[in-house]
Amino acid sequence: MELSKTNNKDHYIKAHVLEGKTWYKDYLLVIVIAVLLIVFTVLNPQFVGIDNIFSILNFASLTGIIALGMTIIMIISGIDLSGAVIANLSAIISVYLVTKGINNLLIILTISILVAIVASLINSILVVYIKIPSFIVTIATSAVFQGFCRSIAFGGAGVIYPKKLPHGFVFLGTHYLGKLIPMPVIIFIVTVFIMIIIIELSPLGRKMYAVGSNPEVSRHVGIEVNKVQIYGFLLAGLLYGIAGIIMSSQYAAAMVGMSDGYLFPAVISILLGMIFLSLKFANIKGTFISAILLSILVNGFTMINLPFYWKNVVQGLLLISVVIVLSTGKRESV
Amino acid sequence: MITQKLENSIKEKDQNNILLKMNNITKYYPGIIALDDVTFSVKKGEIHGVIGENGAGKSTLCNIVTGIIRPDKGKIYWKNKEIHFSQPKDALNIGIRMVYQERNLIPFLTGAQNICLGDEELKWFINDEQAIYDRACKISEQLGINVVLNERVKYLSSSVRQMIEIIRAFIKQPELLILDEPTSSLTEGDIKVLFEVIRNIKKEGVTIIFISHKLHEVFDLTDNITIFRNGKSVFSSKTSDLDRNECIKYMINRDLKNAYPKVIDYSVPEKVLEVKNLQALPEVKDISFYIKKGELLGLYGLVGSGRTETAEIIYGLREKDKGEILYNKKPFNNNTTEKSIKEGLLLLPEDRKEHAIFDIFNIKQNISIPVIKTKLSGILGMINFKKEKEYAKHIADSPSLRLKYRSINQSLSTLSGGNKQKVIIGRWLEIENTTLFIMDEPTKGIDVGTKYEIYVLARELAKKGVAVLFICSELPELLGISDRLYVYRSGYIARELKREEFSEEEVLKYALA
Repeated sequence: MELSKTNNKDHYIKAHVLEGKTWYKDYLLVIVIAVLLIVFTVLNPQFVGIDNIFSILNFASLTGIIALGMTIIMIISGIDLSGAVIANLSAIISVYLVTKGINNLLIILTISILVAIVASLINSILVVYIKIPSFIVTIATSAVFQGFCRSIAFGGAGVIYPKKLPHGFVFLGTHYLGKLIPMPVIIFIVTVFIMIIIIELSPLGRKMYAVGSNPEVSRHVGIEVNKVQIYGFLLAGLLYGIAGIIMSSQYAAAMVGMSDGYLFPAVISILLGMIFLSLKFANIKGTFISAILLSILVNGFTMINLPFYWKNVVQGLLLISVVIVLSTGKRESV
Repeated sequence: MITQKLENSIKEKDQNNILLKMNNITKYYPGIIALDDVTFSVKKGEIHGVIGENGAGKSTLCNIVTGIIRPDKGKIYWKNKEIHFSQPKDALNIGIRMVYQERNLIPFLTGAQNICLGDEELKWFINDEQAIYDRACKISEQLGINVVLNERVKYLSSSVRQMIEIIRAFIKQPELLILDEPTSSLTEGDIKVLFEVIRNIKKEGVTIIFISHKLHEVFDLTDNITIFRNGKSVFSSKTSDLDRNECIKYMINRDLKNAYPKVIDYSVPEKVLEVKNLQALPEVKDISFYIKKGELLGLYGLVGSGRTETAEIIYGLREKDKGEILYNKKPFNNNTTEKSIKEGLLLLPEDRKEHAIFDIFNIKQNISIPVIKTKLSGILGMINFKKEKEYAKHIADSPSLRLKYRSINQSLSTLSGGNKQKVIIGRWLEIENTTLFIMDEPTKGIDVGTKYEIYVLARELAKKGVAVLFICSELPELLGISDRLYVYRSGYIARELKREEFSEEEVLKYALA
């Protein structure tokens, strides 16, 4: 037992001093947001108006909710490219049910969200049991789901536009609570809180990270890998469903491809979010902050009358810089 | 005057004789000084042994010599000329080659293709497979290595892969060959062959740096030895002037009175696990054994003889074809790892990197993961982070583990091999009703000091009434610590030995025959 005494102590203490501070790297996203707010405000003071702030958040919420779902998949297995299409499917189903004469809001919500969950479940079976990489599975299933969307909406040449909507249908998408806070923002914030609890604070979330990090090690420590992954896909499906409902409610209609524009920003949000706190893995808070950052960009560019396509350029550059940040730094190990 | 001249000329000759010299090399890593003012030199044509505990700085030294990392301070001389490496290619170009501890072969290419990788013969702009194969064969013949070269590497055993790695180093004649723990996954027989090869290489005039944990190998093979401790090179001498105990003293800075703790048999007749005619082809053919409560049972066998597979079947990671497993006198079939852990059956896997460590988790999270839901969650089913921290700290600081760490939130990548293993063991220390603990090669790639601590820990577990199944390829180690021993040979149990029957010859006779 004498053996375990070593005089390594000074060795560690001396070395400890060398560790650099990385707070600016940890909070890079927040710093970027602050800089953007200042720049846009200087260029157009109306930018920080309370209405505009909520409009930024409103815009962020759809991208954000879809991105949150995709973040879960990113944590447990890999990228999910079908999230936006599943949201689209759910939106189309909800409006389709209205045109078929179903007026009960609860039934409409339940069915359209269930459809999204089932769609994600199909992904999960292919990924978890047949072991196809999620990247390939979701490319394939997005094509299939898009096909479903078309087949349902074909009568309206890709658009379903119900003449009469049930009472309360547009409430979720367009109502302003206290004439100030848009409903989607509230739904978004609540979703973020619940997701933080599930993914970052609960044992299930810890297991999801474990499974995503290394399924073999997870099996060794007694985690039921398949079960955890399927839970993740179901949860993601639920979020896509919610996003779909908000979408159809905002438009009071549904069309094929209405959610296509959300895929790219959602992917960027997840990747940007990975640099939050220098975590280098997908996480809920990072995705949330990044979704808002992207929304600020879009809104700000409009406010200062920059052509909208500059938004794409900036998004692309942001992504590249994130990859640079991610790939530099602590890589060496002893 | 004459004597001084003579001395000078000897000095000069000595100077010319030095192939590589490193002066005052220092390398910092976040949180650790990996090399602290190290001076190190290698003579032309010698086999130079480098030994030290894990984290002593051996790997960092190699990475500097091969140009993978740059030192923060210090100078490197090659044939008395100062050199700077800006990339690994620079080191390759002057003739420094390294054979890594982790195998770097591409699994879906053949041996020959791997050997010639990056330097393929072309014919009409496509690889000339025949020429590649011929060249690989020619090199292997030169070195006296006889291995299959036209088979995809993924179908080859680890010893064959090791040989292919060595052949690969000779695609361009090296002047300095660095072997980093080349024997860590080889069997006794393979090691003999490897040593023969290394001696042949030396005869060809190649200088060799041989890094190993295994002292007897270093003594067997090398001309000179340099000992590292805590990032410093503490001693360097001719091998013939050193003895084993002196060596250990320098390595760990203390006397090693006994290599193994005292064996006290705590076993009681109650059988915890009984395996009957277990079969899972191709590795496991017909295995029957039992282990008693409080017993430290050794399983010896060559790499690939089916020991790991047996452990994985019992733990629920692998399916069996036939046979019966009785755990606590009840049939224990079609189980999952989750069920095993619940019933107090634990496994410490052989491959730490692939089967034990979560890279994205820190020390705390790696320790807490098996009990995160059952023991450490609170309000709303959320993790109680305070409790988790206390739990992990309690384990890390426990007297049987005494983990060396800066912060419980530290990443495992900054820990040495021995400390990583301690974290993984710690993960299982507070599992309730532990009845059987299978340790698969728990001391592989670990320094002498930590090895001893693991022996003590295994014995302590046995004292508490846990049945410990100790799988190991190091025969002296197994003979030194176990109460009873089974010898595996290619999927069968060849022999059962009680402590009083232990002898190296007897075991090897059955393991190799």
